[in-house]
Amino acid sequence: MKKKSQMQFGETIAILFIFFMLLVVGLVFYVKIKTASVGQDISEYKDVRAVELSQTVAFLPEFQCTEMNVVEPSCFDKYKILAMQKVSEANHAYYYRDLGDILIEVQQIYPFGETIVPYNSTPETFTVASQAHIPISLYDVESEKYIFGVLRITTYG
Amino acid sequence: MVKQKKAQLEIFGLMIVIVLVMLGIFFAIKFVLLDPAPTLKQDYNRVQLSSNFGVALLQSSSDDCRGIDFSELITDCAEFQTISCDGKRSCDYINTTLDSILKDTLDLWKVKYHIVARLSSHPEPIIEKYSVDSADRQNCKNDKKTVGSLETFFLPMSHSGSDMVNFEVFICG
Repeated sequence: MKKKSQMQFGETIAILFIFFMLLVVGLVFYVKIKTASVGQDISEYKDVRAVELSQTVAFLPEFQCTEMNVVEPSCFDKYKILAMQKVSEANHAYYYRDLGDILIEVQQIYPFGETIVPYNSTPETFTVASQAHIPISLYDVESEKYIFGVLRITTYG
Repeated sequence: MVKQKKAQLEIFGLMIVIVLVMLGIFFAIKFVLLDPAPTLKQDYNRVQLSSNFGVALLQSSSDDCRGIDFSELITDCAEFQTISCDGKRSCDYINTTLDSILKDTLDLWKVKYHIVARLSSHPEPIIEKYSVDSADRQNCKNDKKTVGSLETFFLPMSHSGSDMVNFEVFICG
């Protein structure tokens, strides 16, 4: 009688042990899957944010060529971009609200020329999250020529 | 006998639990861990690169060719090659300048591309550029099989009626 009850007690303990083992394994697995899923969501958010920033910068009115107040499509005014350097420093908070911690550079490729930095908000400690390169057409009002340039946007993580 | 059957039933019950747990793990792996990551940024980069590169290039003024646009130089290269730049014909000038621009842009960013200028009436290319790595010539070509983003620009010619130059920028995915 005693042995029978001991055996049954042993069985119950074994079943409970297996049950809790399965529960722990299931929880660990769930946490791992959730972590992977959240990581993917964060990565997707960063990508969306990078695309949004590229679009915002590429269509900033401070960069666009205009003639008689009409915006010329696919054109960036070189002297407006040069002026933007001082404007963005003087109104850093205003631009930081929309652009955040990024570095915007405009490099003249053909003919080769200077690199202009119209906006710089590099944090003190940073990791480069991503860099986008957008080929652009820079218009030089002085020489009335179009320069092949690259708009480089560095986003910090 | 009854005890044996009871034990067998209990084991059977445990087996069912294990099978259900394994099925759950299988579905979790299939639909969560192995789910392909979204490619929004890559798709956007490819599309905007092919479009913006073509627009910027065609609009650019030549440095030592009296400021003539590249679109005009390309159409001259396709037609009569009457324009001479710094001692070179328009076709040679475009090829040299395009190599220089590509070296500082798409080649530097390690982007695979296939750039072609051809007459709409003739499939033979007038200008053709591939990405630097020779292996890419096999992998990145503007054909129906390669995944990528194509942007075509139509450049009308002054003396050839309805014929025009198709300038194609294909960025491989």
